[in-house]
Amino acid sequence: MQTFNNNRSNRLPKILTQSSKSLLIGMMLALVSVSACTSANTNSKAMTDANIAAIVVGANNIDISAGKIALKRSKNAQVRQFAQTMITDHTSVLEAAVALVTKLGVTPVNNDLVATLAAQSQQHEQHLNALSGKAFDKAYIDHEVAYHQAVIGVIEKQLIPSAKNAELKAMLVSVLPAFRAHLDHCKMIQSKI
Amino acid sequence: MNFIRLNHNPSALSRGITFILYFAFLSTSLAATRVQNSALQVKQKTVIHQVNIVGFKFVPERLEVAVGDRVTWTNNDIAPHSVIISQSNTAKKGKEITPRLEPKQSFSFQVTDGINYQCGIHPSMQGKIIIQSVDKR
Ligand SMILES: [Cu+2]
Repeated sequence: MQTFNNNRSNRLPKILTQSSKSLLIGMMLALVSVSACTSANTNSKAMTDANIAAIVVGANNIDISAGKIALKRSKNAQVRQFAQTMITDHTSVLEAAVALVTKLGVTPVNNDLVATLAAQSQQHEQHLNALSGKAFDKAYIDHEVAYHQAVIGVIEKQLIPSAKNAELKAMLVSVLPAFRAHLDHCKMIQSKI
Repeated sequence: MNFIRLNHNPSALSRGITFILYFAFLSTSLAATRVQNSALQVKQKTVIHQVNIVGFKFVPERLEVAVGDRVTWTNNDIAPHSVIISQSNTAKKGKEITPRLEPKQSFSFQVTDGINYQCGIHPSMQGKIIIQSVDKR
């Protein structure tokens, strides 16, 4: 299982820059287009359990990484508490997912969606690392709202319907409440900053 | 609801007294059994209510208890949770009811009045403890 481990640090090179707003729109469009592509081309692009494992691992790592940046850069107590919760909870989800796919003997295999998520995450982190104060808090929280909405959509509409292994499917269903609670939480903060 | 416990060492004598007190208690009114008789060191057995924390929810979300009952929250979830007085409560908002509960940890709390509560880590997780009226028991 050398393709992933519990190293939660961002292992991706930072190469791209773009404004936060176009990044969010780009991420949503990318997720939708990858989705359409996946369902249209079932022969070569069907989502396998190995792809699902890679998406779950990648999606959790991305939010852990963003949370670590927020702990470094934000001075807002609510934002910092939220960021710490993201690190704690997504680490738990990640560990549970890794334990399950290891038990099932599934080796994660990246697909277009994993690549898209990783590229968008690099852009977002580059953007965050250039900000501070209220501008940082707003960019971080706005993105957390969009990201959790996008990931919930991907889990519900793509991962759960595609999962072949019953335990993997059950795990995906069981992690949704965490993502929904996080979405509610960051929306609450968003309304105050 | 009518269990009686004596606070000294169990012996034949104390068991005998327990029985006598038990029947004496049963013959009194329901309201009377709810009164603690400190002179005889007899008290009603504490009722413990369980709240399961699972799927980022308190189950049940709404619980009816009597004053003096205990509520035990058990975290059967994947992530840590806690219980604090809800931010929507006017008094004591944010006051800690349980410490941070890691998965599989429990905490018991004796109820003195009705409360709206929430998770201290995930504010969208909400629960409610309501004091039930005496005649409902
Ligand atoms: Cu919680």
